[in-house]
Amino acid sequence: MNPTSKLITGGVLLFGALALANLLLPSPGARMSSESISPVTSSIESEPAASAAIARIEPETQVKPPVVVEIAPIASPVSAPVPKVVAIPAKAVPAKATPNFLASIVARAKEMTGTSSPKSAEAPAAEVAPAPIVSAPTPAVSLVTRSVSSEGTASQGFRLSATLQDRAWIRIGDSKTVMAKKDDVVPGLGKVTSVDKDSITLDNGQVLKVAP
Amino acid sequence: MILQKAIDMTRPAALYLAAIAVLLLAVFIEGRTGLTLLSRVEHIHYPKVIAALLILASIGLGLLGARRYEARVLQPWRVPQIQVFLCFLGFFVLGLTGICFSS
Repeated sequence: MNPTSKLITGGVLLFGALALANLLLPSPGARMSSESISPVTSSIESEPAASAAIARIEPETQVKPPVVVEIAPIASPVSAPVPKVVAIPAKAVPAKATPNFLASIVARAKEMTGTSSPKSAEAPAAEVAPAPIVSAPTPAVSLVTRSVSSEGTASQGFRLSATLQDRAWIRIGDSKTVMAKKDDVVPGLGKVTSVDKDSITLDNGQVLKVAP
Repeated sequence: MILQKAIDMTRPAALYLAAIAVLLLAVFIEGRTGLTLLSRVEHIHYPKVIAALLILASIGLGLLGARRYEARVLQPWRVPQIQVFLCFLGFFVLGLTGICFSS
């Protein structure tokens, strides 16, 4: 479906929905009109009890002066705790702990490198790249040019859609249609010399037939 | 003579979309602001019913016009422009009349 047709159809349906909703449902604009408000106000003003009630309410609705509360300033900012640096004496660490610790690190590193090296060696074997799928190149066939039944190569992209009396409709590409008569020049195609029942003849000798 | 008769549907489509926009604007004015397009409709007995019928007829003509427009885009040698134009003219007139009666 053409996008413009979709837009037109959507607009028509939107208009119908809004118009029917406006017709059936009460609109907020109608409630705010003067015809619906004026009878209510006039009836309230005419009632003496209502005017007395309004007079009683009015003094209470006066605006009171604002109360100012003074806020005491904050006494003192909280001091940030200072981190303490503790110096550890050298005597606290045993003398033979450091070589053991270093030796354990070296052993751990050797263990890690010893276990990871076979994995790294096996990784390329495991990650076997799939063989690329080679498909046979499909020939690019244009639907427009395939349906052209002409006797030449200059009419590629042109399709004779219909003929009626002395007029012919020629489809150009996928979206444009031109109407041509005898002695008209179609840009890119040539001059129309004759229009027959189901074909047209160009000045270069080509014959375009109506596509099925 | 260079061919000058290319069938271009841009301007008709813009005209139809403008008609739809005018009707949507009329619906908005009628429904949201409380303003009426006609001040009084007193000589009609059932204005709401007639407005509903007019709006329904307008919708039908609009959908018919959209179908004829699509058919003209596909096969312009079979659908003349006047068919599409008359459908959208009826859609516009009936829709605007229905909006006026609905107030």
